[in-house]
Parts: sequence; C-alpha cells; structure tokens
Amino acid sequence: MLRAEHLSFRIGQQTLIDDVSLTLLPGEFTMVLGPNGAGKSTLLKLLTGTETPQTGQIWYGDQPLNAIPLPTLARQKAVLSQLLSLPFDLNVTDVVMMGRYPYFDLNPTPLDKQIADDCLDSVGMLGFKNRAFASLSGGEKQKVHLARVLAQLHRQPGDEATKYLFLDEPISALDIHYQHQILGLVSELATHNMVIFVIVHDINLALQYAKTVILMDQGRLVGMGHPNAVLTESAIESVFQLKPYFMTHPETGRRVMIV
Amino acid sequence: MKLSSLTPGNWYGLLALLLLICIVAALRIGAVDLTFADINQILLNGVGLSNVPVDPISQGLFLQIRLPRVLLCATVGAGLSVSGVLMQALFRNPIVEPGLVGTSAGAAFGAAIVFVLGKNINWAFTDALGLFLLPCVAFVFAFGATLLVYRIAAMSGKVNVATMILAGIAINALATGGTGFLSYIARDPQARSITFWNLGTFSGADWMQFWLVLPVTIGGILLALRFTKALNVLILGEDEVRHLGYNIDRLKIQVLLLNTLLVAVGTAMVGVISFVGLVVPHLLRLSKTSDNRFLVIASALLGGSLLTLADTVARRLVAPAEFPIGVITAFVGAPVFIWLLVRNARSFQRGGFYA
Repeated sequence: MLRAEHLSFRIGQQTLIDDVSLTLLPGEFTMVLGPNGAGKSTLLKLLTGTETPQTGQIWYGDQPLNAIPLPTLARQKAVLSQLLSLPFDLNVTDVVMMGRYPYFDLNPTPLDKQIADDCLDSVGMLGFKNRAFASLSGGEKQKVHLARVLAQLHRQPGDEATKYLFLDEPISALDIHYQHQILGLVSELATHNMVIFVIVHDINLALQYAKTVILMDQGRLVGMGHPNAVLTESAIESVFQLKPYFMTHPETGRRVMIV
Repeated sequence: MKLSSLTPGNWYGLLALLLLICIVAALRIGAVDLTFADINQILLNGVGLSNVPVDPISQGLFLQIRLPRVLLCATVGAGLSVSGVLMQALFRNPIVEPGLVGTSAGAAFGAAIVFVLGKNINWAFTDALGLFLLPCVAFVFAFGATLLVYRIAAMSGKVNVATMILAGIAINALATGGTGFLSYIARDPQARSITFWNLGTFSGADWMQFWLVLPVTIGGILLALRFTKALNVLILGEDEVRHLGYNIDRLKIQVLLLNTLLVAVGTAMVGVISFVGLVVPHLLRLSKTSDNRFLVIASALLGGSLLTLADTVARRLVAPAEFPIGVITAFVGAPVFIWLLVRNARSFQRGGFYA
C-alpha cells in the first residue's frame, strides 16, 4: 500500500502540487488523467522520491519513503519515465539487463539472463535482443524500457512482497495492438500484489482498464475512485474544456467516450 | 570473424597479449637496442637467480632506466584511459576527456607551483613529504578545476555540453595562464622543466615514481569497476540512476574524485599527456560496446599498450635525443578527435544518438 499525505511541491512561486493526499492499494490498477501541465508527472516524481515535496509525507507500506535505503527500494519499486535518449549506444539486452542491476554484483547470473529474455518476450521484443538500441523505432524503444522495468520487479517463487510500478505515458508511441497488449500485461501484474500508477491520456483506455482513476487539474486531485464515478460528463467538461458524449459499447456494455 | 562478436573475455585476453607485446618491444627498442638474450639474462641477474656477467652499462640502462620507464608508461596509459571512460560516462558525453574539462591543466598548474615555489619551502623537499608534495598539490588543483567546470556545466540542473566546453576552455586558460606566469618568474632550469612537462615526458621515470603510480592506478581501476553499473544506468539519465538504487549525488562526487586521482598522480609524474583518455575508450566503443564494465578493463589494457608504443616512438624517432610524448599523442589524437566530430555531426543529421 502506498500512502501520501498533504503533499505540496513548489518551484519558485509556481505551485505544481497543491495539498494532495491519496492511498494506492495493490491489485488496483490506478490510472492518472488530466490536461497538460496538471501535475501528473510531478506527482509521479514525488511518489517515487525523484523530487522531495516541501510539505507532506509518503509511506510505502508502513515505512516512510525517505527512510528506505535506495538499494532496497530498487527491488520494490520501478519507474518508467517518458522517452529517454541515450548518449551512447547499447544493445537491447544491455538496456533490459539494467533492470537486474539491483540483484547481481558485477556480472549477471544465468537466472538474470533468463529473466531479461522472458521480460523481452512478454513485450514481444525477444527477436530484437541483439539489435542496437539506437536503431529501434520510438515504439520499440518504449517496449524495451518496459521490459527493463518488468525485469526489475520480476518475482522469484516465494517472493510475496508488495511491489510498486510507476509508468509515465508508457504507451504513447505504440500502435493500438500493442497499447492493448501492454495494458493487458500491466493489469495482469496488478493482481499479483502490485501497486500500479500509470499516466495516460486516453480516457477510453482508462474506462476499459483502470480499477481506480485519478483526475488531476492545476496540481490538485479533482477526483479519485472508480472510473465511472470520476470520469463523468461534468468532470471531463470542467477539466478538459470539452463536451464529451458517452455511449455504450455494443458487446461489453462498458461506457465509451466520444467527443 | 568480426571483432564485435568476440566475448569480453576474449577481448581481455587479446588486449593483454597486445600489452605484453608492446612492453617487450619497448624494452628492446630504444637509443640502445638490446637483444632478447641480453634482456633475459639481465632480468635473471636482476632478481638474483643467476649471476652471469653482462655488459654493465646495458644492465644499468635496462634495470635503472628502461624497465621502470616502460612500466610507468603502461601504468599511466591505463590510468588516463580509464579516466577518459569515467569522464565520458559522468558527463554523458562522448567527446569529454580529462584535458577538455580542466583536470590536466589544473594538475599542471599545481605541479608548476611546486616546481617554482616548492624550492622556497624548506620542509617540503627535506622530509618525507617532499615525494608526495607534487602529486598531492597536483591532485588538489586538478580536482578544483574539474569540480568548477562540472558545477558550471550542471548549473541548470542537467549538464549542458556547450556550457561545459566553454567553462573548460575558461578554466584551461586560467590554469595555463597561471602556469605561464610561473614559468615567467621561474629561473631558467625550472622554466625548462615546466615546458617539457607541459608536453609530457617519461625521461625522468624511475622506480620510485613507478611504485607510487602503480598502487594508485590499480586501486583506482578496481574502484572504477565498482561504479560501472551505476555509470551504465547514467546513460539512461540521472533519475534512472536513483530508480535503480544508486545515490546520484554521491556517485558524481565519487567518480569525480576517483578520476582526478587517476589523472593527477600520473600527470604529477610525467606531465600532461593529451588525447589518450579520449581516443582509447572510443576505439573500444566503436569496435565492441559502450558497456562501462567492458570499457574500464579493456581501456586500461589498450591505453597501456598505446602509450607504451607512443613512448617507444618518442625514444626512437630522433635517438639519442628524445621527442616529447605529448606531441606524438596529440599528432595521433587530434585527427581521431576530428574524425569523431565529423562522425557525430553525421549522426546528428540522421537524428542520431549523440544529442
């Protein structure tokens, strides 16, 4: 369980996060929505410890975040930031293997290699394992980075600890086939005692996959809860300044938004 | 068989062999060429296993001058190359080398101070500290210069390459100016030693220097290996270093300290040798991988080989006189550097990865 109490974060005079409190439970796929500049990425940075809030406290389970040693934290929590550029070229395998760094000393064990391969396979990139990372397309790079964070949180049999996965727009460069494959994969992970916090822009994906939705605007939480309860016509209209229409999916009966 | 398909283990084996060949060649070739039989006999005599009389001049030349010089050369080459790997990883930029970010110029300035003013400090050369004074002062100045360049470049939160190069130029100019001023006020022999030393020379090499540089370099390389995983993650970005369990601020300062130690101890002994730290890691990046675990070990071996080779050329080219080794490394290094820049520019146009 991840708990944040009264987080506020300012840079100069600008308040980026304004008194945000929330609780994220394992097993609940949480998606974060909001317009550009709403503070979604900043909130992710605060919750992962990349930035320190001026006020407020964050708890991972019953431990305050800043009291957990970084190497311990690296085995519990993984973060996928927005597209990263590499100043030096590496192999795809080298990049994925970084996810295993918290587990081995200088050289990977056969088990680490196996896990890296499995994770590449689960995002459909095993065939690219010996390719140069720089030669991949944007979407392929995104999938390799996803494999890296999956490798970082990979469970050994008997490991029942709560894990925390943060993804900042993980599917922005993917085609719709892979968007659904990756989100399916992540929601499957959520059921294994994992707290999952994903920033997305597509409201329909949130309606389809999220158990919990956080709607943000101007550094504040506008709503948090079940997608149907949060993503209402009036909430979306006030946050995105756009009038939505909802329809019912002909097969599943789920709500679908059109503009 | 392609070079890139060899395993790191094979690479280390081949490079170690190359280093051995370079050292043996360097031991044979020089102002006075020795035969293998001579070298063999002198070595056996030297360690006291036999006592066959050899030409005493050859024996003295070999044991007191050439052997420590060649070994020092290999050690300094290894240290400078590993330092290049560390700097490029830390600055997240492939064109960084110790000479570019002020480390070498700072060390040179510190050493010039000791050369010119040290003689006026009585205690400095009379007691045991005298031997360590030069490397210590060189280290302090090298670290100060590098830290300053790094702080200026990273002022906006992330390292800005243009600012870094400009700050490097400014700090280099400052240190060079200081060195120039010192050689201006120096008496003639001191000034001459500063000049020689700015171009780098192994002509003063002795066992004392070697035994001082060797443990620092070996310790430094072993320490560097401990940072290689974190430096690999730094290729992804500073936030990722933290997410994978390393303290980024501590990492930066530790790597900067380690790098300065490697450069300063070598520079204090043999002067400024440019471009080794730039060229060696790049040759390896191009032929195998940018994985820092590989680069550290392989650069140490290749750097030792190349500098030993360069020093052999320096000794042989105008024998019995001697060429400053810095001239040779610059003549070879500068064209390679330019080639890298051109290649960079091309990969920029392709939307390349050096941005």
